[in-house]
Amino acid sequence: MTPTEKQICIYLKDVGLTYPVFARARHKGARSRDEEQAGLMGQIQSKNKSIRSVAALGDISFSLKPGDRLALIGANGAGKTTLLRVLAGIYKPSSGDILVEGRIATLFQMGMGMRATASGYRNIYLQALLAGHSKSRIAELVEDVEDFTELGDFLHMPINTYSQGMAMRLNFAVATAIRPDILLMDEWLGAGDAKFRKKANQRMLKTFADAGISVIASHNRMLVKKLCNKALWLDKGQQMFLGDVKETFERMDEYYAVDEDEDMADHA
Amino acid sequence: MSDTPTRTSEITSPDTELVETQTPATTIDTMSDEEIRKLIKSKEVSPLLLGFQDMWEGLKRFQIWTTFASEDLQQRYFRAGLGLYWIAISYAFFLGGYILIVGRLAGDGWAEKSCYITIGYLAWLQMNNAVSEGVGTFTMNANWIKAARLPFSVFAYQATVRNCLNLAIHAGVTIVVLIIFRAGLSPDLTALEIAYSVGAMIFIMLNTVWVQIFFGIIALRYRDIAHFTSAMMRLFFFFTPVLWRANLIGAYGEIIFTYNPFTYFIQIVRLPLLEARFPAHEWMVVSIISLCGFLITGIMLGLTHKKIAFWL
Repeated sequence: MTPTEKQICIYLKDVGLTYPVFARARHKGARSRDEEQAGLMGQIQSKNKSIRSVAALGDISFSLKPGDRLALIGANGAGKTTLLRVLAGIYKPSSGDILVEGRIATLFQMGMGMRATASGYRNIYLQALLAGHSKSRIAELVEDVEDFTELGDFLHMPINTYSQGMAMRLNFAVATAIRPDILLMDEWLGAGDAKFRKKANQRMLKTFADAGISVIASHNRMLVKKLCNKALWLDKGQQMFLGDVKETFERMDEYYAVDEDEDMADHA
Repeated sequence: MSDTPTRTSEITSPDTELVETQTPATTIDTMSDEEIRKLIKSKEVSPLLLGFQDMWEGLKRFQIWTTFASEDLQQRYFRAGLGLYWIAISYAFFLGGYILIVGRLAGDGWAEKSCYITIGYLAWLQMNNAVSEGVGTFTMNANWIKAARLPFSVFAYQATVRNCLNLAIHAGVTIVVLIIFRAGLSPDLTALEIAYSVGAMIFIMLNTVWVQIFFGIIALRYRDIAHFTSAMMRLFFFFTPVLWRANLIGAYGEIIFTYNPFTYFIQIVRLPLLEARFPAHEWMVVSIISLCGFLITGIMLGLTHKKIAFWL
């Protein structure tokens, strides 16, 4: 009954998440702004003056197996980032069942899980340690990152001297080089120059995709269509539709009545 | 609730029919929701034990927290020419000032007083660091907590190792001072008493682990606690016999002395060196405090484990 050791999977059943927001309103203006922001995420319930809770996710159910590349789509505040954090095990759901098996790498906010004053090499080492790699394995991994990032001697410099693009290349290279079973990305590959995007996409598809599961939250349709084989559409924390990418987008456009040409022009 | 088929998912929704298949290579795909639920439940740890499990898992990842700690120190003294020497220099200045002013206050017994202050202050400093930095254990590491799933205790170990490196440098200065004022130490001092003292110092450092988790959690949920503890520690500095002796301020001092937990931690380090004896009573008190602290912290960490990420 117990799955084999090496099994990689993501399984969610009726997962819901409600979290407390402690921001105390200092004056009227602040309160309404807080509420407006939180309102994007879901429903707000007030238990008392200082604690309000936000229903950020409700009844999410899906399961993924190796080779699956899922796109999370939906408007800002639909719950994409929250869901990624739930998958990463950072947020524990308040209801439902979740099972995530496999080593996870995350690419969330820029610089998260990086030390700004440490050198590029040092950060590679730290990340590899976090992922649970042995020292001998780290050496191989460093080579891989050197190749991909083409940062050369910059890897000896502290990463707070890097440009956004360089830091991103490093972040991405490390996260993929550590060979996670599950890669979670929040609004990533869309940024960066064309060369990086192309390289990153190739790396995603070639070296990573068939072995593991990836979940990408993105607004970039072209990217999602190229990279993913499934899409999950979220709206106000609710699972609206899960299916293949094309169909999900169609349903979403129908629902929001968005003119696709216009939308594509926005994201191109 | 778990029997209702997944509504919107059309692909690889877990198969509900294959309930009793027990092939060796069972995968999630062939398991029913009920089976998976059982599997998930079997992996769950009771909240009461979760905190202790976290501390254990964290302990095992020693490579991470030792590396983090050394990064912390390098970062703090990044681009400073003298680097880590600054810890020693500032501590030497501080001790020198105290010895010159406070040690000289009452005239005689300069050597005794210098030893008394130097040892006491070394122990006090470690506890003060643990509490005042402890309130930031999790808030300071939000960046990491939100990026990867690590045992929370890792950040406490990291702070403890960082403080141990600090301590090593402080201890170096302290030893120099003690050698200069060796007349103030007990004349019957043997290697055994020195070992008692060193052991007591190590014991204090072990305690800083739970202290940092304890204050880290409380201050995370109630942000006022961070300010409250920094005010309290200032007060406790005067309530703790670092600079004064209980017999010098009468019955009043006796009460503060007896009911202040910090007193005992300082005494287990100080008494072996000053009076060449094993402070059995003090050790008993600190052992009870430590055990209670560790248990309470473990339970608290388990109960709040789910919430820490939201409180950040």
